[in-house]
Amino acid sequence: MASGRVINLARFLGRAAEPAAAAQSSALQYSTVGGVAAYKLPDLPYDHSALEPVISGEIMELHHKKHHAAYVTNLNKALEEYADAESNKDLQKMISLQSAINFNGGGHINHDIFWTNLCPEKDAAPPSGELLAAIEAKWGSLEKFTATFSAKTAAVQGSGWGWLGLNKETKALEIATCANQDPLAAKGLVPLLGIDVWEHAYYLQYKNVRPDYLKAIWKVVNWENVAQRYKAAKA
Amino acid sequence: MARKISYMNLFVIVAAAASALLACSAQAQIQQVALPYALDALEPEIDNATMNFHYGTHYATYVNNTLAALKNATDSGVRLPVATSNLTALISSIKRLPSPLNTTIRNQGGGAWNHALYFKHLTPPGSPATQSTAISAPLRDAINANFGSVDNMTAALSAAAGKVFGSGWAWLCYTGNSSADLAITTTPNQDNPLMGQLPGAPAVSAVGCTPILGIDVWEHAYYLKHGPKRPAYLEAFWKVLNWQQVSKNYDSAVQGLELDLSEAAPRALEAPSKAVSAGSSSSGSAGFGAMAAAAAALLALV
Repeated sequence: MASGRVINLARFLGRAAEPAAAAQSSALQYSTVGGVAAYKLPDLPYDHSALEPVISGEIMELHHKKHHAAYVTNLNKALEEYADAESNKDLQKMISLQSAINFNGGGHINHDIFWTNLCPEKDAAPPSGELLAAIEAKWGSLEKFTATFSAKTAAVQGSGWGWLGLNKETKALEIATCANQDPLAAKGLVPLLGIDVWEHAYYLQYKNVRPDYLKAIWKVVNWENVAQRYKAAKA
Repeated sequence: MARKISYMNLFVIVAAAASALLACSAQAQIQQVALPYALDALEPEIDNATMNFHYGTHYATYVNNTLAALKNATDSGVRLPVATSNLTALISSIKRLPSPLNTTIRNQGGGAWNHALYFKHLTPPGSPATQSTAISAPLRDAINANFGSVDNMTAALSAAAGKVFGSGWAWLCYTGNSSADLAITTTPNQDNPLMGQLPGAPAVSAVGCTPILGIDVWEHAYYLKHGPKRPAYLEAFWKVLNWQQVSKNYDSAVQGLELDLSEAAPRALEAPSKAVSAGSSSSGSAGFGAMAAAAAALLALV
């Protein structure tokens, strides 16, 4: 039976991650149905074809309406089962549901960020102000940053993500990679910019040439969004 | 018939055979397994485009990267505990390889091994080898003993393959455990149960077992045709699985032999003139030719 409580996704993402993760997951849209949080698939801030020719409309539709949608559906299902298990005091069941919540919750968080990190090429502008200064201070130039980011992200084995994150403690920018849908927050970094390198993110268009995808995607990065996240993270 | 062979003649023949053997093994190196079927022959179950990329690019890249890493290591004077031509030995010995070679062999060598097994046990749909009647008696007995029936086993393996999160493989493995000698397990990325339990990797059930059947569930294995619908790919997979090859794999594993991941059986025994070969095998066959000549010379004297 539904417990009447809203489940904070951050609980599942590791103690160290709680403050950052809580901030992130509270930004996810959800509605309460029967007292249990039901997360919602967000709309894209642009049409599926708006990122062409960098990312095809076909990829965007599958990625958003199939892959991300499945994460949301499966997350809600796992959370509902978790709520039942919890009210039945079935600890074994609760434990067995952890990985489904991690996978699907992480998938939902990551893609929720990803769609906002991108914008049509015509609307994209390079970073400026404090964010640019911080990038240049750390990597020397925007070009060196993107080259380093692309190289590290291309090297991800199998499925995963490349991230620009803010270290909450040192207030420094860092590049990190995560496997599968592991949330960046688990590494103590606030996600600012994420690039999905699961094959479904690029394969239909770029086939196995992940470096080409990583080179092209910079044309559709929404630096304004990244700057907003940077500002919020430093606060 | 000459009954007396001078020791000199004998010495020459033996020396020729020995040097041919040496030449053969010195030139042997890891290469892609040659396919006894054309890249479009698995249609409609596995599409031509996927085979082109999967075999011609992904698999080829794993092999090339493995060779490059091994060459780099040997050129730098790194001493390896196993022969660089033996891919199975390399991936089984990952824990004994120095860093960073161990990581490269895990990811690239694992990719080379896994795809060798995979492509070698596929065959055109509708061919006799895809029928369950092609399962050898010993393998059938083992499947029945461990899973109840072939259908139970394939259902369980498909379920395991469906549950892999991210990139990885689902395996039917020979465990060597007489009370339960087959097991189903999964590994992430290009890991393989033969690598053992690697630090930082999720726990592998039946770790150390020998895969005899592998299902690739990296998205590149199915995305072009099926998009995100992995179950549709899994259904098609069983229609192109070569049970004869799986039976041979089981047989080798039971005997403690390494699986034969080298050249496919001689062309004369397999069908098509359309058979695709990748990777140079000319040095290998020159060696075999010399060996054959030496053997013939020896026989002619008897």
